[in-house]
Amino acid sequence: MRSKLCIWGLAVAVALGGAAGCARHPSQEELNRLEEARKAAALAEKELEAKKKEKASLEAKVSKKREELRKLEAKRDAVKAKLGGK
Amino acid sequence: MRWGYIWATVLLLGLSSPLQAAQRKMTYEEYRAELERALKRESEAKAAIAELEKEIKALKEELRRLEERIAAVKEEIYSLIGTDEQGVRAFQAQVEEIGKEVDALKGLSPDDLFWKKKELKEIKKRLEELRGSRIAALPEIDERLTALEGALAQIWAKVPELPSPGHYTVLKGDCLWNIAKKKEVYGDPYMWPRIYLANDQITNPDLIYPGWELTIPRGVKENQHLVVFGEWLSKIAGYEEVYGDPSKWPKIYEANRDQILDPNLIYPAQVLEIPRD
Repeated sequence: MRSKLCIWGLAVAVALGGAAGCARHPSQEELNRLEEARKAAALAEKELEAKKKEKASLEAKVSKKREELRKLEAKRDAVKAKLGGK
Repeated sequence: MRWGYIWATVLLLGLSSPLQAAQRKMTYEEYRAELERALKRESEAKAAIAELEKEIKALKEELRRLEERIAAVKEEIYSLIGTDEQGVRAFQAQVEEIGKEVDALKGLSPDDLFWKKKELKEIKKRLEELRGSRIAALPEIDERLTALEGALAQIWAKVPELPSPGHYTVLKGDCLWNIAKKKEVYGDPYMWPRIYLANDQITNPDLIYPGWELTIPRGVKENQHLVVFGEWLSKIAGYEEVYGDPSKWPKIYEANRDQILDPNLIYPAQVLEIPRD
């Protein structure tokens, strides 16, 4: 009776262990691939940030140059008007 | 008893290792989801980069066009005013030089300004010359010149027709000749008639008394000339600030017939009217 109980206990323990520990896991190669993909994504995002900054800087420069051109054109028109009588 | 040990060991082995593995290892489904997420992040970022690169290229092109346009408009302005950047800078330096002189004159009293009339006229002349240049059509220079012209006009408005006269208290032993000779009076004894003519209490120029308070007239009006020792009419007419032409002396003579009996005889301290055209 006692030995039967032990055998049943052993079976339950093995069954429980199998159920909990035998789910499918990624291989080391797959894990490496995931790591590579993560790094590539981070790199692309970093490059994207740099491009955004470059664009913002260029937009600011363009805006400044537009204003400079507008002022210069106004100045040229004023000079023309002033020299109209000369 | 022996079976009890075996049972306990197997139970421990069966339960503990899967629990530990669950803590440090992801499942295959989690792995797939994580991989997809990373790949999606990368592809989205690359797509956005491609889009941004197009925009950056367009912005660089626009910047280049703007710079070309700016250079062209600058060139157009310089061509209109007939100089280059260096010419404008040199012109601005001249304007600023006048600005400094005007600032220095602003703080002077009306009497001090009276004695600076020549300087004021000189500044006015230089401003007029600058105003005549095409460079003065530049808005910033036009504005500065207008401000300086305004400031100069304000200074001119403060210049009195004649400065305040001085005063002198007669001391024992003084005579008009000696008083006029004193540095703080005229520094020129030949100027004594000015004191005589300006002080009604002097009936006889050889008789003045200690304690008398004498008025010492200073300067002359704009269209007048104060004769000093060693001058004659053609010499006066030849002065730049008079006519700049000695042959015009008869104009002075005609305008002062009441005090010039002989054009060859004029006297120190005479105040002559200088008629203008």
